[in-house]
Amino acid sequence: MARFIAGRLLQGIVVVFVVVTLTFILFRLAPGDPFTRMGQSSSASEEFKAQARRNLGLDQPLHTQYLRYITNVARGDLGMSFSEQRPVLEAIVARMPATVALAATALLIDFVLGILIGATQGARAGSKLDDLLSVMMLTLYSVPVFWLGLMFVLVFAYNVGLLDLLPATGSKTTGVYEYLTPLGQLSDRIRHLMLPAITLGLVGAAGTARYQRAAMLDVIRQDFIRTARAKGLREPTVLLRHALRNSLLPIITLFGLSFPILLSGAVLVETVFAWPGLGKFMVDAILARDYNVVTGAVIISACMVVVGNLLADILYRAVDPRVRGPA
Amino acid sequence: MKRITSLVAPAVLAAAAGTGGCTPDLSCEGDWCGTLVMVSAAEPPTLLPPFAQFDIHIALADQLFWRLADVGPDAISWGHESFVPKLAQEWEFSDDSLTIVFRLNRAARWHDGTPVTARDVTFTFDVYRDTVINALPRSRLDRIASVTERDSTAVAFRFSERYPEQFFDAVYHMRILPRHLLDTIPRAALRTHPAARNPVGSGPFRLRRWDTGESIELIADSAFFAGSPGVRRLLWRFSSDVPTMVTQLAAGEVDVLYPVTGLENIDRIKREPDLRTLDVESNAYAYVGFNFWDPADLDSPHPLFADRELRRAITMAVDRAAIVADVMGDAGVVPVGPVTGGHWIWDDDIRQLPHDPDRARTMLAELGWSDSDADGVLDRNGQPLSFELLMTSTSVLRVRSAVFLQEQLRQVGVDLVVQALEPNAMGSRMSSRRFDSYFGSWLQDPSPISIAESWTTSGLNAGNYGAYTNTEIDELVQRARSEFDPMAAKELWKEIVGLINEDAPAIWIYGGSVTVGIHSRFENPSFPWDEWWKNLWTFRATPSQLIERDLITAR
Repeated sequence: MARFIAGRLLQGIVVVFVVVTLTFILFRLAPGDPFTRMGQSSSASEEFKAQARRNLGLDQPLHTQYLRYITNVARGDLGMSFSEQRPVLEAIVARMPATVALAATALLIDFVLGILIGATQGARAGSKLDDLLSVMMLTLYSVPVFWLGLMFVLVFAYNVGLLDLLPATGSKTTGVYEYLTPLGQLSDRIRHLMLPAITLGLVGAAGTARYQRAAMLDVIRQDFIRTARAKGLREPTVLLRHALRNSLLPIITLFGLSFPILLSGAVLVETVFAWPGLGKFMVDAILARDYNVVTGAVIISACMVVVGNLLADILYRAVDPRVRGPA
Repeated sequence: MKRITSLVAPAVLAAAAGTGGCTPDLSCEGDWCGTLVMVSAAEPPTLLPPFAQFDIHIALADQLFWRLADVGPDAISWGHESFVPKLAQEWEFSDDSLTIVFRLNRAARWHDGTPVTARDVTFTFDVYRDTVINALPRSRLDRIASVTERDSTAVAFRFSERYPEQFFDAVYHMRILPRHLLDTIPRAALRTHPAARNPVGSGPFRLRRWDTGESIELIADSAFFAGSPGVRRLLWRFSSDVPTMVTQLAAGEVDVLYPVTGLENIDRIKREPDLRTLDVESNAYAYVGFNFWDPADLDSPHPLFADRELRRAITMAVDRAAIVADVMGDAGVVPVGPVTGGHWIWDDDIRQLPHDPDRARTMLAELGWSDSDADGVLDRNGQPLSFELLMTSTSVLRVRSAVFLQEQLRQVGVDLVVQALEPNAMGSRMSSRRFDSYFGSWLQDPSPISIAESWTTSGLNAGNYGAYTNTEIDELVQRARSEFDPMAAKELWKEIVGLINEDAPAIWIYGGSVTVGIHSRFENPSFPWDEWWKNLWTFRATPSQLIERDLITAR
């Protein structure tokens, strides 16, 4: 197992290196830099902008900038954020709790709801309930996540009563939160988290349900299920203890892949709900051409993909002896 | 496991339903309560004024840092008579008028209790002039030869020459910085130093907390030398787009949105019983600028826009009033030239080209343009009268205006190809001059020099992207800049604007006015055109209409 993990980690380092290199080069090839937009409404002269570029080392050749950046990254230094004037790592770490809270809650909604619906469909394949849920899940899966978010915002924004229950923007009630009791603060956070998490989780649940239905159908047709029924076990026991447990194996892989996908979804959802997380930060950084933030966030994201996949593989090997291979 | 679940679930549900501990400590009593919540799309990188690059940066910094003096209600940049004291309580000119001595208000204090002194002013000038700091207004300080301390509260500004805007340059561009806290920090490190994100100022508010990506909380300095601010707290939220900000205003999560763009958003706010809208003068105008040089060969004149008569014909084909009415409603103002509505040189009698599509058609025919192939687009020597308009895809007003513009030009046989780009891509095209025309906007301060920076030879390396020049205008600008009589100077500037209008280097589409959305409980709010945020500290919530957050006393 240790060799397996070490090998996958080594692969992961290569993946992260390639992703960082591509991001660094492609983003710098995109039109503009952190100071391009300044000339569009302020009186910033070319001299001013040139001086600002010199101060940040952006006047250096691309390969010089790249070598310096990679060397710094190897030392754990992701550079300074142009738009925040502080270390990128510090800026990212400040936003991670919001994104992790959103992604984790969305993941919970995604898998609990997705597995529940998918398993129900698989257990009652071909029934009217299965057809109805299939149409609903396909419809939900087809909905762009930002559109669903915008609809929630509009519905809740036009209904002040609903807004009091589930606020449409931000991660807390600005100007009030700090003055609440700890329980009040928890309540405030949860209320603000609901809409973005439900938005992100619902769309994910639609996909998970499709996987779960297919996995359930595969399992339910196998001999051991027939045997369980022949032994006279009650149907709920057959479905929950035998069919559902075995159908969850493919979902583990999906789980490993879902976290980074949720992060990319969070980019849109955080923007719509003004959620102060990494996704919104990245969108703002891309628009501001904050090179170090974008590359730094991509490093974090790539690491999460690598770790997510590794965890899925480890879990898979732990629960399914068939994939362990020779020791 | 079951036991834990059974304990946690009700607590979470109860918390989610908001059943416990949701009421903050509402201890504010008496007449001085209130929380003003602002919202804007951008977050500043620091709160130190020399590093401000956009309006929103300086809007926040100005709540913490003050100038020596400021322009008065008329925002006249000429002379010094109309200026109002801020950190300086009085000033006097030397006999040769090359020196201004400012006397600081002895009651002025930094938020840590240290008095504001002349050494803070000399330090500030040094910082703003430092190339390492590279402050945006650095070039506006070129004619200040030195700033020296006379005594602890007197500071002398010495100028290299005498000119009408000496006083304006001395006071308007710099916000005074605390020397005792910043002078030990190396200049190269100042931008990223923790003090830049947690500064100590001398303005009406001091920083309490900064939740990155979400909001900044400022609290009133009750010992502020110019009087207590109207509210106890000023919160500034950051959102990503206009619909979200409008939603926050409608939901009562914020109190002021400046500006509200889009008629549907304005209507939505007008429908809210607790909100009202105000149409106020602004410091911005938007225009369609022409490139005078061929984007394919920057050494050659533009095949279309080097021709003055063609530019004039196209300008006369555009019904700007109709565009403004359609995209901005009652709040819209048609600019009289490259100048904003509240500016002291604005005058309705400035010469402008009329909207006259028939005359435009005649002029185009006289230039040899005709629709020889009957496709609805004029052509000459086989070349259609067609050009590209660059614009940012993020501006709702520009996108909507461009649709009207396209249709109006189509009616006289001109094919306008609209190219909406991401702002950086557009900036890149503009900097390299690879465009036919572009939809831009300028922010102006009270000095008419900003006109010269954009529409004369001196702006060729800055905001004059179309590279329009006129030697007669250059000479008039020199005369205007050295004319001490404000009225005579205004006439010269009006003449300059009139001449620019006649040359039609751009079509001035809209500007001069915006709509603000504000909660009704705030009394007599005012938004000066040059810096809409400068009076926020005087806003006061009506005691009988206070809401929950108004009653919170900052700890």
